[in-house]
Amino acid sequence: MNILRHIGSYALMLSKTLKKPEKTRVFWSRFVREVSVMGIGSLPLVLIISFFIGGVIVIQTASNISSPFIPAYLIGFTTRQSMILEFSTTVIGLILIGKVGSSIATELGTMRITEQIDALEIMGVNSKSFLILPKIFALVFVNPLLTIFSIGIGIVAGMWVGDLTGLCPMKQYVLGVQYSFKMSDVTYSLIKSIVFGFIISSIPAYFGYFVKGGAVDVGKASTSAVVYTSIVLLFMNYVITQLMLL
Amino acid sequence: MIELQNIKKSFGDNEVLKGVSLTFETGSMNLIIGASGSGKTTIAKCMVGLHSPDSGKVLFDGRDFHNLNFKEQKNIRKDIGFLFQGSALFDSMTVEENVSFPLQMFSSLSKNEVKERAQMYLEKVGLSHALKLYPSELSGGMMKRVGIARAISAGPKYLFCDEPNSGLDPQTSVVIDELISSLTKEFNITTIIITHDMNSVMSIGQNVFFIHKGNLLWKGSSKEILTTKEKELTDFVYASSFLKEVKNQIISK
Repeated sequence: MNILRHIGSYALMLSKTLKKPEKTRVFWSRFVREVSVMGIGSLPLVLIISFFIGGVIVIQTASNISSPFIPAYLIGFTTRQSMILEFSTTVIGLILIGKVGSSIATELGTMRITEQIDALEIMGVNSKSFLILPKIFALVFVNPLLTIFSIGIGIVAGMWVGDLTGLCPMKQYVLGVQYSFKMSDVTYSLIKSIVFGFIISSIPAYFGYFVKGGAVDVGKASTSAVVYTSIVLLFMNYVITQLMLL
Repeated sequence: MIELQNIKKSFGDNEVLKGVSLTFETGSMNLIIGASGSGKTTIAKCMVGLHSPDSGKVLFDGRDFHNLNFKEQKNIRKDIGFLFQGSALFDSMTVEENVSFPLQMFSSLSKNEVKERAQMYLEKVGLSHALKLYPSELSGGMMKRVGIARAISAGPKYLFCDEPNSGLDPQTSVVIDELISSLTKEFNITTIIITHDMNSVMSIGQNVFFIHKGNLLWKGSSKEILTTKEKELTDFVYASSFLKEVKNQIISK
């Protein structure tokens, strides 16, 4: 029953959040700020993780190919597919929950317990739309870009690692990256990243916005936000995959 | 004018307000006093719509706030300034941005005009030098003054102050009281202060309302408090043995 209550409250929150901003100029300035904080702020972490994931995929794939009948270019193919289909969306998504999601829950939770949200409400500002909408828009906009960067750096890292370790010559790797390329895989990946952007921003916002109590409760809300957002993200990953790839 | 008619409010089994009726005249300075947990802040939160009363009415110039639609409530809220106990300044904004915020959201003023207005109000509260500072860089007294500047920047008709002196030293408290009092007179605002600071009551208390266990037990002026026979109020006013001693000395003279 508790979960149904949360789903209902979350839906009601979204119905108030997804409304036309009161001042478009203020909304866009907050949007740009959120893009900068959540997007550009997360870029170094995304690039570092993607670099190592790309390299590890090459080593793991190469170490599992023992048959001389399997061509080396399959290492490039596997790296590309792994990065596009799963790592750059789902794994990066899970990492962003820890970085961005917990920060959203903490920020809104702190604003709640220090009465900053009450201050907005008393002024007549739709606090949900004012605080949460720019975050949702920003992450829905920036997450696909982060995904593209992640795919790119992962594939390039794989190429360097393959070449430097001698596991896969560069020419073979590039051939594998180009082999049987389907644009629909990229579309699938970008659709996932848009949905994940929405999930990563809105669910932690729900947990933060409705915090009651003090600093300890803000911490608990942040933890709950990470746990539940991860579960929803993995569930949606399964749903989208079944809908688009089967 | 703000009128409260038989306001009742409970949180679970705890009946916080047991039918409170109050009237605040336009342009008057009103102080709601009472012990911690007596229901003072709940009254203010019911008035500004942060809590919905279980029964009773809150009338702003005759309009029943809790029976209005969202848009009509919003119009009344634009006329309300609220100073929170902890100031509730937006941490992500500078002092200037905090004070500009209500103007930015609800006025049709240009960017420069908003800036000028914010600077004018910050000058009134003596903080024209702190425009670019963030709330985390301010002292408690400065935060209260920024809170006051933000509360009055959009030209409200009603100003609510929840414990404006809590956590401040006596000298800063006097400064804050005088500031609220002078702004009330200057802009003809209906001011409602929630406090248990007797210094404030004696220095700026035009109309004083004493709330005890969710009921309005007494109302009058700050001068009348000294001569009241209401036991709960005298217990509250002369809670410290020092004040009791002073009172006894005055009586014996």
